[in-house]
Amino acid sequence: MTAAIKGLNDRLRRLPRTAHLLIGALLLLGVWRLDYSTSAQISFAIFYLIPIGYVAWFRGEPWSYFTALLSAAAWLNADIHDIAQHGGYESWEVLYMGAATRLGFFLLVTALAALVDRLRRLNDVEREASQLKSDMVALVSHEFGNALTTLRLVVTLLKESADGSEAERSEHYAVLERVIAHLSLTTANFLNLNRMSEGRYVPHLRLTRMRSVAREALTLLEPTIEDRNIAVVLDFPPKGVPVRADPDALSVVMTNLLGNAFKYTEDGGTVIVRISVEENSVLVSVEDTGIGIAPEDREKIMSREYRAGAASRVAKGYGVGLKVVRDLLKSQGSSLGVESEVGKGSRFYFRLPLWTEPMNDAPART
Amino acid sequence: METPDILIVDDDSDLRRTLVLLLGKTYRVAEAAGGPEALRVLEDSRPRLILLDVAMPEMSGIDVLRALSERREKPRVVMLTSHTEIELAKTALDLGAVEYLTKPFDADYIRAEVARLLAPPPEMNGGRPWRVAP
Repeated sequence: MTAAIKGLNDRLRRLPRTAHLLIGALLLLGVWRLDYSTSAQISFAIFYLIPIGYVAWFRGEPWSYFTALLSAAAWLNADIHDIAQHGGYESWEVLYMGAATRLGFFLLVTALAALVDRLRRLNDVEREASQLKSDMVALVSHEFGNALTTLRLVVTLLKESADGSEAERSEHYAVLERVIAHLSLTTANFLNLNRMSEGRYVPHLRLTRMRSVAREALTLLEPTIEDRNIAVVLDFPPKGVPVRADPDALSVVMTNLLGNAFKYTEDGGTVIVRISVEENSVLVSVEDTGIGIAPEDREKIMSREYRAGAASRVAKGYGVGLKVVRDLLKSQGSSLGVESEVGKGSRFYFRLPLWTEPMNDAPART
Repeated sequence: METPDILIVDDDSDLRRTLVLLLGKTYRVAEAAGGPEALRVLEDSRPRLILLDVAMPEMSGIDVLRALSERREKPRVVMLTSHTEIELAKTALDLGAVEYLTKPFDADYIRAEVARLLAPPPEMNGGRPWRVAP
């Protein structure tokens, strides 16, 4: 029974917003028609709570108050009609007092519904926040568990290969460098995510040199693609590209997008970083010839509701990093776009406003 | 290809390669970067032990274990998990895994565990012939 109600609720929730208003209006019309055709001795007031409740549940305020108002008017209209048919109250004031009482009753119920709705939303937010926290703990535990294991094993291998070949040792050192770079990025991501989830992050928008930020991110990640024969193509305009952004946030964005591109590109593949100036904005994209993302996973990693924990099983690695990228871009009035084809590669892109003010501001990055 | 003693399945390429180098000193080791690849490897070979990561994209370690449980010949599987995945590890034991190792572990520990799991079963009666009661 509850499953049937839940199923109906889910189906109705998927309807467009105007459809709910239409259904609410039809319900109100139905109740009014019944009220109109029955005697005033049969009180129909309580049935007006059906359209009011429906609109409050599916559309919320202010439409629910509007429906309450219409319901009181409909009740008044039915009552006036009844008086005309069967004779009236001793005084007209009784009629209007009755209508006012109904209106008060309807508004009270509507206010209660709104309160319940607010509590429900608050509860959802709380639950999401606590889910995010436990997802973060799970991911930290996973990422650090892997990294620490690798570090421990590599140190043992290094000790044991004291007399080994130079090539063998340099391979071990390359692993150490990659793991350390990965841990640094993971830590930065978690700190950012934590600051943003607590609402403590305020972007400091200023003159930022887009090409420099991209180059710095590349320099940071270079050790991770050593020996992997990945071609990195930089398609930058010949002149500097000043944008209005928070350089630190932008640095995290670029490092994550590049890190993902390298991670999901096979050895011998290509990663293209493109910066192109449009009329008033700058389009930045990171394109790879990697494994690509299936449409259903793409939806998951890009949706607002998507959670890190679920993603660690769906598309691990895109998880926290992409959430941070999305949130950081959003805080600067931008957004992340993605195009991808499984087996061919992915392209992540975003736009930032071009810096149009005079360049007397001290450059944040040179 | 020679039948490997151990198949290592983990999507973290650095961890996987390091495990291959470490255990490869003593055993014949094969590797797979994910569930589907592991199942492909297992079609042609029968390793005596599988080290299987739990959290992998595409196909989790649990999914791999389920796919294996339908096979007639079941390999011995050891799950590799992090602390927060202990519940999943327990599910894995129910599905037939023989052991789970919690990351981070060190070289001595994994070597000892693998040696223990690959050791031949102890001979009955200390290897001496049974005396038949008169």
